[in-house]
Amino acid sequence: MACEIISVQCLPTTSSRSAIPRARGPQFASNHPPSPDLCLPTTRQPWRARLRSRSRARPKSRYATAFSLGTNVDTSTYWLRRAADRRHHRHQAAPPKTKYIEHILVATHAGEAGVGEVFRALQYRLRDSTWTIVFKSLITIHLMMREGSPDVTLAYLAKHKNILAVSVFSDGQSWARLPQLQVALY
Amino acid sequence: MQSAAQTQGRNIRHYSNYLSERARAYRETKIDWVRAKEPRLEKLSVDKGLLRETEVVQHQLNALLKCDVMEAEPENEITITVFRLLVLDLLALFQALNQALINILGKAPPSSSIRSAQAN
Repeated sequence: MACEIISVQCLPTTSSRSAIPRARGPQFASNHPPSPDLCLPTTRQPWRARLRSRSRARPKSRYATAFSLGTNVDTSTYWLRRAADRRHHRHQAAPPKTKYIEHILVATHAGEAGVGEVFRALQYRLRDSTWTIVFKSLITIHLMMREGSPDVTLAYLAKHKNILAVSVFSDGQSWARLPQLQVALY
Repeated sequence: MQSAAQTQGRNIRHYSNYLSERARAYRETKIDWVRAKEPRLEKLSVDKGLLRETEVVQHQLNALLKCDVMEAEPENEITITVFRLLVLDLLALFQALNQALINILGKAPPSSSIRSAQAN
């Protein structure tokens, strides 16, 4: 049953991939590189787009809900498991990964605009109530200072002073002092 | 006994305070003291703002020393990463401040040498 489902899922791509060599004849049996149109179905789309196209092409059968992952899972279980994974990762106390930091550091070399973009994305994370998220954002800023393009991040922070002054309320103690602080500010 | 969230909240406050202090030092001197390559404070004269820039470095160093992130008992990866970054900053800042102090002591009036002899 499982292999039947996989074949049904992969039907559009496999048919288009296998139809062309048969039409071209025996020259494809040798070591010729595949033509560019053969590579087209294997290029990676963003996962959102992939999921969307897949859900549109999904057949009506209730067994064919496995998202062609090679496993016979029900859709609901799959999404529950995925959400649990995400929750787990969200509260996991791990520093930001290098593969994501690299892109941010490249963005600092794009000058003021790139840094502004990164800080706009970081603003909401700095206001988050989970301490891991705030800490990770601060580490990201620190890494941008240390290893990004020199002086750009610091110049941006020197110009926008109130970006870093937002995480004061992220510990439980200062929530109790909040009315006092508001009165003082008023 | 503080809860973990309170400890981390205090850490976050100190850490963000240090980062904004670093930004403030850059605003006042237009120099990133952690990444500065040439030993600037070694040759600077008092007229060109040696004392002022030394003070800025001292403020930044103070803010850095205030965040002791490894004080909390349950250590995690995030805290260790922060600690590593802070120590790397600390080494550069300490070197800059040492050079500044050597410069200041070298420029001090000769009357102070009598005092230092007395101290010995």
